[in-house]
Amino acid sequence: MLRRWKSTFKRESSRLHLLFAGRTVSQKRMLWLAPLLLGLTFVAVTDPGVPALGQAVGKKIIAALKDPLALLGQRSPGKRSGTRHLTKTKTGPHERVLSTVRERPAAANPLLEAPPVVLDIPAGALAPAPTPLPTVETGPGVFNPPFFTPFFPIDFPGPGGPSTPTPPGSTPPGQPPVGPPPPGQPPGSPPPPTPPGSPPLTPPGPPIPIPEPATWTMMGLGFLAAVSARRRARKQRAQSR
Amino acid sequence: MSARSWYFAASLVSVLAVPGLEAAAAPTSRIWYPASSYPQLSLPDGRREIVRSMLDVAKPMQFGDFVWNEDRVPRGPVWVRVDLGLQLLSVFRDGHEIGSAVILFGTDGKATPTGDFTVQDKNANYHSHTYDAPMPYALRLTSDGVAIHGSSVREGWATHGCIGVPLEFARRLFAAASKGDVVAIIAAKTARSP
Repeated sequence: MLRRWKSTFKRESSRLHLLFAGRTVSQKRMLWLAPLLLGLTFVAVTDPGVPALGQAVGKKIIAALKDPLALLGQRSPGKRSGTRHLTKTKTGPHERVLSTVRERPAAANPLLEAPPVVLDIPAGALAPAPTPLPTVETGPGVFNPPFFTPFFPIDFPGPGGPSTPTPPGSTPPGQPPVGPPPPGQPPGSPPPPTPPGSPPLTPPGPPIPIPEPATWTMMGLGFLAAVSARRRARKQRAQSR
Repeated sequence: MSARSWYFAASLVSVLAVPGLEAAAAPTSRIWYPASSYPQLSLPDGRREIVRSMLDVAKPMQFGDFVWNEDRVPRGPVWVRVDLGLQLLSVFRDGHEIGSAVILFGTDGKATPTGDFTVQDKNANYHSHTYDAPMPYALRLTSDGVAIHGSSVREGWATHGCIGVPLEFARRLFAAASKGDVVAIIAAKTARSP
């Protein structure tokens, strides 16, 4: 029995070779596609929507699928389980509570340790006091809205300093008052060093660039390492050839 | 580039791209009912809607899944069937089912109301003030805010009474539904075929 099947297979194989012999590549490909086309044709013919199909088979399929609820039940993920389901959001106000309360020690506050500054400004060194505002008449027949003040010019210091010349020794508006220079120090020299405990008056240095130089260095080293590894691998490959 | 590399790249592309292309190119097939005997689905108020065709979904859908196919479906009245027992929502147009999705619904004392409703309002970018949560493509059903809207549909999650559907499905449903369309929400125990 087995021998007979083997001989049949050999005979059919030889016929198959004869079928492909003497044909171009495209013709061979078309021959291989033939079974696929035959299968697609069979599927198309036996489709339930085709009226040529037997009425009995179609009726059975339709009867099985008649109930739309059966189709819905077929695709359903099932009933909701009895476990507790999580809701997406919770009601109520959104509050944030800090875990600990941090208190700064009083000694660490430099403002509290600064000694009181006593200014010794001679009389008349400062700018004259502004003239008193004119009084606003009040009474039953005068319109006097609340917070009403008459207009008067205010001299704001511009970018280059105050517009009015400042007398020597006086304090321009908008700057901290500075006392007269100590004896032996010419006017216009930098202020004396601040006493210990007072806040530092030196401005902060230039900001550190981000990314920092160490980051740039590390990135450059990484690139160099990658390039060198690739070059080394290429050299080894060339040597092996 | 060697032939082996080309073969590897082609295999990788086919593995990654072919399933997506297949899913995008193959719309869900449809089961057509004969015109002589259209089945019907009953609504909570006793009305019945005929069904001309249903989407053919052979296997159970997972949370977050949906199907949509409106090819060869004519224009007509739209109605939505929400089955809380099956955790499914189905959209019908002119008697043809054009979409279906797995849903989330209410729990913990804030159950989803059942019955027949109509779409009262549409808002594609609704943000709930009560829950401080986005509710995209919202179709409002009740005056107290119950709506069908896009949501992250995951197993084990629930809503405060709304009906959550996948976002892409919500977008399509928002485009298909209009104000006044019927939405039938069927309770878990009373979902029966006529």
